[in-house]
Amino acid sequence: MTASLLEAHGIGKHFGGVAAADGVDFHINQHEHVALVGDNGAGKSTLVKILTGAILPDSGEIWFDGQRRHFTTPLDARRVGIETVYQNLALADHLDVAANLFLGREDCRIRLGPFSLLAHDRMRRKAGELLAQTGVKIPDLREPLQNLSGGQRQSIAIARAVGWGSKLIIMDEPTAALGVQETAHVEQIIRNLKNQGMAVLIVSHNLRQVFDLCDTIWVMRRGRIAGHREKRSVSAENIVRLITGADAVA
Amino acid sequence: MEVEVARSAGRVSGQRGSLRVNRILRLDWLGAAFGVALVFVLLSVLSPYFLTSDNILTILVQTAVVAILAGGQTFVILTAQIDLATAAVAALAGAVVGMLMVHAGLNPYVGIALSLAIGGVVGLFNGVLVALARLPAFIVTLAGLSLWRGLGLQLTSGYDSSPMPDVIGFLGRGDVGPIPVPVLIMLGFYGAMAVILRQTKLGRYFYAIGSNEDAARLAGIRVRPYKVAAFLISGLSSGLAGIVLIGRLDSSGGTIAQGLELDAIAAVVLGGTSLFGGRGSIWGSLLGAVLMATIRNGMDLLQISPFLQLVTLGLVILLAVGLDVLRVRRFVWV
Repeated sequence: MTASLLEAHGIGKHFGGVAAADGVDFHINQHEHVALVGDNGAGKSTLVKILTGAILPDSGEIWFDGQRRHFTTPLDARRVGIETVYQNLALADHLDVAANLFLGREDCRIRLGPFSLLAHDRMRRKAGELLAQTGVKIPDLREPLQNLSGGQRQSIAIARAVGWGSKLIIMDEPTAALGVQETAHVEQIIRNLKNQGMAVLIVSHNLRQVFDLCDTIWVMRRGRIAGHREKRSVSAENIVRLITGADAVA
Repeated sequence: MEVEVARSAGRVSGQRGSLRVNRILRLDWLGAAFGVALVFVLLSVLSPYFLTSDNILTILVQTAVVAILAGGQTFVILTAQIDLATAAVAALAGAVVGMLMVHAGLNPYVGIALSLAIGGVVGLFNGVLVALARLPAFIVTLAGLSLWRGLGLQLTSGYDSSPMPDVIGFLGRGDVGPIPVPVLIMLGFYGAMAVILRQTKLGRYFYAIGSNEDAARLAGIRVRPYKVAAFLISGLSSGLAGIVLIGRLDSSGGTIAQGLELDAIAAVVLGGTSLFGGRGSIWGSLLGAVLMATIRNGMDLLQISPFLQLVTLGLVILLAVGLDVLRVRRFVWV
């Protein structure tokens, strides 16, 4: 049995009378690529937001990397090694590639609070290494992001998440806004993460992608975990039955 | 057009040469530099008095006050806000400090510090209302336009004070060798601002916040103190501009610097800084201010009526804002 990286026990969250998460037990092992699937409104986003500190659960415990954690902001989660790649791409379009990769974590030559002098060359060099390591190809690191394609921008967002000693990367619909070729490119980058031993949680509607990229598939339905299956031992049809609740009825 | 060319250059990129061309075409101040060059050539042909060292220095002296206001304004506009009160704050600081120096024997060095302090306090006030109380910057500083100038007039009972102490006169009218002191102050100020904007974390965060405030917040940047800081820098610039202006006029009062806030905003926009935030450069603002002063100077030399001068400058500003909107729109459509 591999060591567990993240464990969530009995997570509950109510919005008014609606239980968005109800007694959710969930776990991710070291190096594991996990998919979270379910219908719209099944509670996937709520669970992800709780795991990343964006919202506070009403009940339940989160353990990460062997310790009980209480995340109150996304920065808390990031500090212990949980990075999120946001669906709406949290990038600054006017800044260049290197500046975005280092945003909020600038490398400085001299530290003087806000007047700290930026180490431009060092950051650019490290940015190049980071992109190479993640398999992202950008011809010019000084290019502002607004001149790059959607796939390149998503790749940069992923590379940024990888770069900071993170242990788990959470991606919400990583290819939803991309064309066929760009989707293939971003999927290749996610596959590279597997080879590097990075744990990944992907929220996706695309079952083809889920089977392609993940080891384990978790299904949520009406705020509860409907089940989790090893990819090897399950068919797409089984997953669809879990999503729609056909198994429960039968 | 620059953007178009830059993009097609990007497509064939890969070779070093095209990367370099791409980088040059991407410079925000390129348009303003082109404008200054064009106006210089045009006026040199049209007027024999234009291209003389005396006239060029006159243009630069006339640029100084607007350029300093524009420098502070650049920080505010880069964070996607606006400061309409810059000239009114310069008038408040200049009027109060001038009166105290002339009538109360205030030491001029203390006067300089006081002028900066007044500008800084008003800047903080604006920044706190905008960033912490979340009032729209346009409204806060529009109110300030009336508030600070009115306060300056009230505190000086509407009287002008003169003459200024020698130290202040030197800052506004003096020379070091062949170079006028206000021009040196302007260049020193821009050098310092350029270092802040390009080399420090502070500058990087102004760009990031103006580009995508949510992204900046998610990256762990505390957005609100930086927004306040942008207004603080603008306020300090106003204090500096106030001192240079009363030195040049050799007189202070609540009516100085009328309308210069709009010249400063125009200079920033002409310099390629986007009113939508996130894109621009400090040197562009200097070029923009030089462009405005050069067009004014040229029209004086060509004896164009002051009414037509107003019309012309208005059209120039419209052109600059129009280009900015077009650039942003093209980006959205892509």
